[in-house]
Amino acid sequence: MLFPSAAFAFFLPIVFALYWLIGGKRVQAQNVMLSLAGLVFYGWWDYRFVALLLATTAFNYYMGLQLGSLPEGRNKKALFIGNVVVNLGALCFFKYFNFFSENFALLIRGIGWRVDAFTLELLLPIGISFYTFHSLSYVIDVYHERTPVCKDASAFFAFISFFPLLVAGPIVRAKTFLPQFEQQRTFRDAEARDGLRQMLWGFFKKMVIADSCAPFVNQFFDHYQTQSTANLVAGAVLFTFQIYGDFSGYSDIAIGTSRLFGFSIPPNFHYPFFSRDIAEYWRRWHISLASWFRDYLFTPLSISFRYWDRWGIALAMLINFLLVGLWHGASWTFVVWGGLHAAYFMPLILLKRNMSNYGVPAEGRWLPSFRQGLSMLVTFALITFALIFFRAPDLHAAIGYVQTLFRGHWGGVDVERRIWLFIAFMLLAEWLQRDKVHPLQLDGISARLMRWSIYLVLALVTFYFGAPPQTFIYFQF
Amino acid sequence: MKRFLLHFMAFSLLLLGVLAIITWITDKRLQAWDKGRMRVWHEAASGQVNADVLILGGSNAHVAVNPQILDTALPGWKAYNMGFEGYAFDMQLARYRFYRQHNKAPKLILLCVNYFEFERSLWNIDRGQFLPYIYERNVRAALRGLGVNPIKLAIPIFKYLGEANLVSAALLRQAPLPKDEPRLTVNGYVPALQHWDETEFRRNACRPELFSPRADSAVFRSFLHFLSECKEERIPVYVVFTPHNHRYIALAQGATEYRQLLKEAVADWAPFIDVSELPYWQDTTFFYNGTHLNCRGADLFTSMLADSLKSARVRVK
Repeated sequence: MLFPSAAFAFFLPIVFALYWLIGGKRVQAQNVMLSLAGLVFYGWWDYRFVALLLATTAFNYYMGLQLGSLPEGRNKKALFIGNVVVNLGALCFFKYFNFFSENFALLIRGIGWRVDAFTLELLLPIGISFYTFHSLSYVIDVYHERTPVCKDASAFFAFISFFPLLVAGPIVRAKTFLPQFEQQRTFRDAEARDGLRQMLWGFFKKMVIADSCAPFVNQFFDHYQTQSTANLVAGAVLFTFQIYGDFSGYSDIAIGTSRLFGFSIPPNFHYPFFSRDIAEYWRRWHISLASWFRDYLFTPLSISFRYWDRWGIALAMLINFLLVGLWHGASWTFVVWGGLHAAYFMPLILLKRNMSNYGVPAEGRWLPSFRQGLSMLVTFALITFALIFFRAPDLHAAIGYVQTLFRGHWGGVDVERRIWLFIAFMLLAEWLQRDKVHPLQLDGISARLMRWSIYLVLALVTFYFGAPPQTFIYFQF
Repeated sequence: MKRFLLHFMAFSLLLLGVLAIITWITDKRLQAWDKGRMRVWHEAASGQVNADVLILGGSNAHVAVNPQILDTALPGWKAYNMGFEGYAFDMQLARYRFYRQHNKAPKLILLCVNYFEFERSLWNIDRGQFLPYIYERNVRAALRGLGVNPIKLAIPIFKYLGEANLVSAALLRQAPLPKDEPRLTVNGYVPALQHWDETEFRRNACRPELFSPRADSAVFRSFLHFLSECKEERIPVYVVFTPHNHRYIALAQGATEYRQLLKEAVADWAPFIDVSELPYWQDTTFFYNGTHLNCRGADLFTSMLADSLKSARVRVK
């Protein structure tokens, strides 16, 4: 079920009404309701995957209980490793089996043996990377005793199958999110209203920005050989805004929806285009994934490599980004994308400059300084270049795109002007509200009429200028 | 909670109210528009047509048959061109049925066909022209099969969802349809003033999908069903294969076989007029591309058609 769809427009009010009719005091009943809603939401795409989701949830719930009951020692560690292997094994089987099989066969052929890759016709369960990481986060935290064992099955099932986050995150931590399913939820008027505003902004980004960019991006990337340089530059820039509008829009809708049900989730994107370097960019872009990898991979690796000083951190960074890339999909394009980000990051680590840009950019001023503005532009150019590899269907096409970009004739840009206007509007709104969680937090405007007029115009723009809904890009991950 | 629900409902009602007003104004203005391609819908809806000879078909029909020539050749009879640019027989049939709801039955139908007449229509060409009529029974039924957003078909105020160009054109009283050319329209016919574009022809020659005649079995069945319906209603139908340039036919896969099969398929229901092999159509000055006649070609072709009908009309009587 897509968020911008008729089905969701009916589904959400029904679930909302039933959830609050049950009442905040009957937590378990609410959890069961949420779990069922999650299964319906998930099964809407393909009911066959519901079984996998249920099996994963049941397995991790049981493992959590077992880990909690065992004393420190070999048995507990073996159980923990076994659990991680099973979770990652399921993910790898569905997502990476063919990739590794094909590349292994390629490697073997490279040394002169004739082998054919053994591939399976597998249908990738939607959102598997997200709910696997939710489960892993729980198991790791339980093992390290950072979070207590969840004994309430209804809470655990609701945590994994919570429909707003089920298929594309944000990847929340068991430590902070699971306890919310065990406590009484109260309806907070201000939170719910702000949740709706956040959803509205998310729909605008998804339907007006991302879905309007999509046809042009598809055209330029699918036929890059015949495009002018200007179109290829526009294609790369538009894809940057498309993926931002798509994924941050989804995150805003998901977080806003969660707030309607009394849950609190930290932001997943925080105005990434105002980043002054790549380190700051990763503190603002897909924050939940970046922090997951930071806490569960980068930090342990950095500790392991600590004897190599800065070079150890750089190596941990490289491994971290390559795996972040691979997490996105079984393709070398994602590995190269991750590698490029590692390369961008490396100088900051080696020069100890990765913490130099923090906080609100140009705080208290209308405009950034020239240096800040230039840093933002350079950072934007770097991420845009890397995203060419992210978007291209394969490495050959990505290299072809870059080559044509530099060798072709400049030509004109064949993109509707209104798309640029909407992107400019989005950037302006985000810049003016860069110290807020989302741009529709209009606390500074006291007149209700004015605030409602803004919401109304934005809703009408989304309604009339929104392109036909397309599947969220991150569903494939 | 109560306050939240009240605010939410108030805002929703406000939004729905504004949407309803915009939809109402857009509908009224588009329905009243009597220019360009909207004109055919407008005239059909207002019952102004009541043609004796009705020309049906796609864009080929639209540019190939000049009703004025037929009017002269068949005195006392009014011809009207309902060629539906960009849409195949499934949508043509929906528009014909819409026409019949508001107009009397024609005395004769010229059903123009081509190599792509029986594929399924794509929902992406000038759809604004029939959005005001989306809730007409036959139009909606046809649109259901074309992948139209179901919300648009289900909820009236959602019919212009994503149609900013159309809505702004209607509200600002601009030309109703983007890219609609301000050409003279006479009895539905829009003369194509363009000349043969060799560059475009060569570019298209590299696109095999443009030279591969195809048909959807369901659409073709509905075509045969329509012929039988007309026979029951005693409305004579002539199936007319519109001329294509011979350079196009030379590149098209199985073009001759396609026409032959079609002729055999309709033999029980309607006469089949096919002038494709005549040497005139080697001349590119009669076309603006491989599949469409320009106004010069249309006049020649309609004159041929009129000559055929002059004798046929006696039989009809």
